[in-house]
Amino acid sequence: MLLSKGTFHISALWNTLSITRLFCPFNKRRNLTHLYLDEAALVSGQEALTEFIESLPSSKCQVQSLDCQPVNEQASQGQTTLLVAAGGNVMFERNKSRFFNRNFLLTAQASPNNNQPVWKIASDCFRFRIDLE
Amino acid sequence: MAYFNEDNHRIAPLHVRKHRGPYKGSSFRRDRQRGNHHGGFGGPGLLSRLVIDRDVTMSDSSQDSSSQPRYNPYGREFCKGDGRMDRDWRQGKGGGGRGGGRGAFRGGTRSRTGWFKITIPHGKKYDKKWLVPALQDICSIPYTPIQYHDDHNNVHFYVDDFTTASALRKCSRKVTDCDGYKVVVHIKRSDPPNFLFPNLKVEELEHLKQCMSKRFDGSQQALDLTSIHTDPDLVSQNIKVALNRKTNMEAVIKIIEENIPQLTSLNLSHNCIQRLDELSELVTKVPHLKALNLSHNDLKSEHELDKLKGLKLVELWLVRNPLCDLFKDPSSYVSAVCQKFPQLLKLDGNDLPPHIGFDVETPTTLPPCKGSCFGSDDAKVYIQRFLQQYYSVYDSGDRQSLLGAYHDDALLSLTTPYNVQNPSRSGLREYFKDSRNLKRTKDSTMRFHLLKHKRLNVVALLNELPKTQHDITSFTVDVNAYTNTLLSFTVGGVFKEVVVDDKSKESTRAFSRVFITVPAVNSGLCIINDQLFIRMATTEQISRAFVAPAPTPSSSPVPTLTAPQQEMLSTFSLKSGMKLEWSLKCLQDNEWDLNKAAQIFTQLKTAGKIPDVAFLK
Repeated sequence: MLLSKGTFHISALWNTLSITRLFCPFNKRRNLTHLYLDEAALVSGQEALTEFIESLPSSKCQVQSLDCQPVNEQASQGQTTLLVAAGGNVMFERNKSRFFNRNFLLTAQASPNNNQPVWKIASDCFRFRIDLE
Repeated sequence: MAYFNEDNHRIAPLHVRKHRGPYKGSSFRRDRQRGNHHGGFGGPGLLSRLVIDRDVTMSDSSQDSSSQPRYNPYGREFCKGDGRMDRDWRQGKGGGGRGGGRGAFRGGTRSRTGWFKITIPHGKKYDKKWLVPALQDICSIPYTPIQYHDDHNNVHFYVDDFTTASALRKCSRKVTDCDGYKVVVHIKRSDPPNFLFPNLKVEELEHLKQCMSKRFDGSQQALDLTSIHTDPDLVSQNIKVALNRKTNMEAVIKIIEENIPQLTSLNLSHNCIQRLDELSELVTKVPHLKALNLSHNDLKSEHELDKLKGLKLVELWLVRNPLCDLFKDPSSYVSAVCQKFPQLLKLDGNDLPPHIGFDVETPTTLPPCKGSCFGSDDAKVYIQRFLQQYYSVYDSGDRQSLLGAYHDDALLSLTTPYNVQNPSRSGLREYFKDSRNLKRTKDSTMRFHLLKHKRLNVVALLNELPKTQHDITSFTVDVNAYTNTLLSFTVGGVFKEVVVDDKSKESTRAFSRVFITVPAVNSGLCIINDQLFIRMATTEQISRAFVAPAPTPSSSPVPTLTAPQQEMLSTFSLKSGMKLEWSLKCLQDNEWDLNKAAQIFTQLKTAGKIPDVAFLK
């Protein structure tokens, strides 16, 4: 398949505490680095992931649409899993607003800190369009 | 009021009721009253009184460093003028008596003594000796026309304050000349008449230069021109320099430019400076200037500072200027000044909070673009195959056979962004009623309803959507997760809505679709979650899509078959009764071994594992 020009992809496994944090702009990501797990699909290892994310310019996301579906047990092997799909505009420093689509697979896992399970991001896929200069 | 009184005071000695005769006499007498001038119209006496006394304390040696306070930015009290004036005023000497009726005075710029140009249209024909007294007879205030001259047919002269000018204006059309015409008087605010400011002579300039060099501190690259007019060196030579005069200021700047252009600090306080027009040259001529002291001057508005824009000032003093008074509170004053000089760190001696900028270290380039990310080769194989099959059916016009692609318990939802700017024109109307956007749909019943559950409902919705043609070559695929039981991937690309009838239009859309699949028979994928996001395609996407001829729905996908393969395919299809796509899949799964494929097929068919849709009708 031919490449769709001007997009990038990041897929990783990382922790999160709540869904709202998923949409924090990239320039706040430094707060989240400690939340990264070791395994990562595209970028492996916490450090590499951190490094990759830190290499991204700061951004601001505006979420316009949000949808989610529960993932069938058969797929998730009994682990409560949620598919979250978001769409909207993202603005990087150069003041250009671009469409983005982002989807997450969230799974509930027992938390060592709490009695209640917490959501963790098993997958994060972020794509946006860049106009070719 | 203070202005008024002060003006009044200044007028009072001028007000020579006793000497009201032909004006040319009165100036001398006035001067004599003062007692300390040479007298003579236009001579140093009048000069100093009218101009210098008011603006600049010259003869008194009192250095003005701790001068009478001029303007307190945060208070209302002020005493304008030089020491002598103020003293007299406070002691009540002179004519403090004129009350409020003298015209619309405010405690602001209008009541400042300023020059006015009086124009008598067609006044050239009159004899000055007739005109001036004639007006004086009517004019309630005695006046002295300064620089009386004619210009074409008009006569002009200057008076140096508003009350006088205003009184003169009232005389308009009150005097009739011998021809029967009424004499008209126009008044207009103006710059001081330039005869008062002769350019400094060469020797004077030289003295000025010497004086300035004494005030220059080379180690700091700082020049202190505070109260330059009182400088003993200049005074002793009788050189009159006032930096509120254009020519003098220009001379000073020229000397700086020629001798010390690398100046970083300049003190211009106590110089009665009203305008910064000439100082705007500093931006280009003294570019390294970082500290500027304009305190204790006469700057009336913050807009004067705009003339200095471009100077990268780090330190600025503005205190004791009228402009400071115009701000409601200290913070709006500071804010306004900082806007003009963003790098300012100190204002009036106070440290400012550091300018908050953007973090320059953050990278501004995005990482290189990447295409599809499969993560692993076998995932890639599964997915590619899946997509080819899925979309060939999806685009075929009848999506019913997609039932076979979905799990019994499958879920499907569709999202279309609501175009806030242009809701009716977004062109995605067909999708709106089925669009599930949790940001917009708050009602839980609605939310439930929009999420299609069970494959029949799933396919029912898909059948309602417009007929499409996907450009598979435009797809990007990203694998989200890949486990034994789950393969989830996101597909992005464009498709066209095909024109079906008069009502439909060909539009290009962009989509992002998340498939969550579980393993199915024949190493296939079975969709268990399907989330479809559709938006308008960007113009760039439209121009790049469908560049290669899109595969027609019925044609076989990317791998072009060799002739023997094609033959095998048609044979197998015929024998099994399965549609081409399904036959192809079976053959591919079995490495194009016809017998093996047939065997597997039979097995599955017996076990009832092949969905009906696979078969040709």
